[in-house]
Amino acid sequence: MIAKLIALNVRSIFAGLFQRPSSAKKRGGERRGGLKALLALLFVYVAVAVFGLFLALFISICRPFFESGIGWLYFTLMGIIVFSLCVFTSIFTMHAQLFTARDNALLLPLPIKSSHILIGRVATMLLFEYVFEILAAAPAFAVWLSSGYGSAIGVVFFMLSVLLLPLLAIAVACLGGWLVAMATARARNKNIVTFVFYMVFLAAYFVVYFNASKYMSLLVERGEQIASAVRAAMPPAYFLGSAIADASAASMALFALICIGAFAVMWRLLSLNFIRIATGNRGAARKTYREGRLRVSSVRLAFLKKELAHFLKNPMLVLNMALASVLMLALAVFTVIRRDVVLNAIATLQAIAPGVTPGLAVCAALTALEAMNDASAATVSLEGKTLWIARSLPADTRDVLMAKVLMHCVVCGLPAAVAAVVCSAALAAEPVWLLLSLAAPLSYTVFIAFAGVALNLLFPKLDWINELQPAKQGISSMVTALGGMAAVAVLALLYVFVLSQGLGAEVYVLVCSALFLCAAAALYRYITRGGARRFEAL
Amino acid sequence: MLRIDGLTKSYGGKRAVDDLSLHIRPGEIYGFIGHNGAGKTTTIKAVCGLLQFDAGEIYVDGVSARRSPLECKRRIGYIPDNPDLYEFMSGIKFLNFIADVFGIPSGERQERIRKYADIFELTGDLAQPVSAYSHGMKQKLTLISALIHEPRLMVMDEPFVGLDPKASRATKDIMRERCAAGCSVFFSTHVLEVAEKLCDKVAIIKQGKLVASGGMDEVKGDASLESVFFELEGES
Repeated sequence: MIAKLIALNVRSIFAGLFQRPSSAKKRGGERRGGLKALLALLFVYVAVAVFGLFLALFISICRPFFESGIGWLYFTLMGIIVFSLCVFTSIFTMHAQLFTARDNALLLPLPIKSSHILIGRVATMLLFEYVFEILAAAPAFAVWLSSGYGSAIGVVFFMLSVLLLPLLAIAVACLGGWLVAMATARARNKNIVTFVFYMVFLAAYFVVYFNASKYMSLLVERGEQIASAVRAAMPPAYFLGSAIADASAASMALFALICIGAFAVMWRLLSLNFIRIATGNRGAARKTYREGRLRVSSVRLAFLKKELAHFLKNPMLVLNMALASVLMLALAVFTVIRRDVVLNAIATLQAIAPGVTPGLAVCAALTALEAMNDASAATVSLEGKTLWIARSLPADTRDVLMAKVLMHCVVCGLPAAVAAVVCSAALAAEPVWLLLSLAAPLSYTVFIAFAGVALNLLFPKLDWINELQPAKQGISSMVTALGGMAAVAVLALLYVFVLSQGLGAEVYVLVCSALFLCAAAALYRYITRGGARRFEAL
Repeated sequence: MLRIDGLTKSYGGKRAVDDLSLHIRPGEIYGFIGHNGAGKTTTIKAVCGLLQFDAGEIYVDGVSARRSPLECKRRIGYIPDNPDLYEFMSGIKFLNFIADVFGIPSGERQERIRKYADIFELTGDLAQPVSAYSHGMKQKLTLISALIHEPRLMVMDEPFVGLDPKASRATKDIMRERCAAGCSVFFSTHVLEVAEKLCDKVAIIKQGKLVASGGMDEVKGDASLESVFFELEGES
């Protein structure tokens, strides 16, 4: 039964990637093969990028650490990275999988032990954590062996540690997910509570991320001091490092004990509380209806309001698909408060590329951030079982689809506009760059808004269990997000390495903005014709 | 009010509805019965514009569903077999959204929401998010949303599922009320007693084909609808 539940969870994740509208299913496997190839390419792209990042990191620290006699810190650092990566990627998914999954109601009445449902869900997450772990552990292992510091026992302990570490990570992720569930179960506005949880978590992550290079330099410069501090403050991380680097059986045993112990305690707690939390009343405190004047809207505005309500009511959707909007506003606030830090960063850039002005930096930063947003890319999928409503109402399909495009423009465009004005003013950017800082991110927003809806019409995923599935695992979301980032990177590199000699940055940004709008116009044509027909046939 | 001529719809190689023709006049309550998978929901979805059909034609109040789908939808109040609603909205916001799409003036929507929410005893829960509603409450909300624009034709797929006896009776009263006002009701049901008592006319569908249709007395004669149904299905 457990194997079936795991298979069900994994299948539901992967089957969703390839779900096609019924009309498209007739066209055979040819396009499906192409889709799989595209998806494989995307996975390879992400995996290679992350792998390369960690490879560079471990190459830079391997020799200094081992030659200073603190080789264990090398693996301690690897452990901390793997642990952070696993916890960060799974804490909110654990919450969604364990406590808010729609199929809890379907599975709980069946003659299946609740512990088996739990095992099914936790094991599925564990499988994914092993995949994440490989991205950091494999380069660490390769650099360590190729540098000649490895030993046979160390290799065995490395393998054991790789198997054990995700148990600790998943225990912490479960604890986090459980805390979120407990905190939101009785909260009047659980969306805000979840949002706050996530933002605190994210802020901590970014503090570490942006200070990573500082920490790295500190590690290399004051390795021994830090090593003794880490040893005292983070025993599990020290045991992991010591077990592999020093081939210490005692450290290995202690690390195994901690991982298995933490997992066992968390498992016990979850087993005891799973049904209570999964079946608890998730409704907020009861609100009494008081009749008031109802606002009348046009059909288009009604659908736009509906799309905005759907998107903004779920903080997980916002944080997965429009996180850059939050970051843009944070950037604006940071630029106003810490203008000197931003100007210093720009001055550092100017040392490498003298042509960079504050205005250009704002424009580039906002466009790059905008590329991370893909709010429209799951809007068709999110209709799910409620698709019948839009389809049975006397509303033009084009209006229904354009509301999805407009939602993206509002959610992602408004913060970009505010950030462009605030940052340009705070950094005293030239007027032309203020306009370009509005033009480039906004035209790109419009393009991505159309691209997301068009791709979601091509690759809808309507049978999700929770709303995060189409947002995180839908192929349209992946292609929109990664394709969008790749497009911006290609345009930037094209200018830096090829066109910068003969073309002013202002003209180039203007041309790019015009290109984004032309592409958006072409996608508008598709969405209002073939796309609308596709939606009607879903 | 509703004319279906030679409706045909296939899924892959299987004909879900095969050359089906029906005619529902103003003021009629028309029951649509058949086994699971007989083609009832497919027919209903085709009438409501949720499904593109292969052949035939559907007219709602004289308007072609193929040529003027939006005009048809404006005349229809649709209740699906499952009340899957926007869970991110409150009941009142959902009803206001539906009223916006149908372009109902502020005063009228307020009045109709008040009237039907009172009938279905949902007024106190309208500020609650739909996600907090029970199945029956969602069904009541779906009923109100289908009535809010006072449709000429009500198309209902198993409308009594999940309703408590009081709401069930209120629904039947509303169906009769709408018909008395010159509108029509076309609904599917598995509860043959309800169909027998409520309907002016009935159609029985089997494997996509209509096997009987007409006035209730005409179809069942002196027997019960249940015995006629099983006889036509070959299970007597």
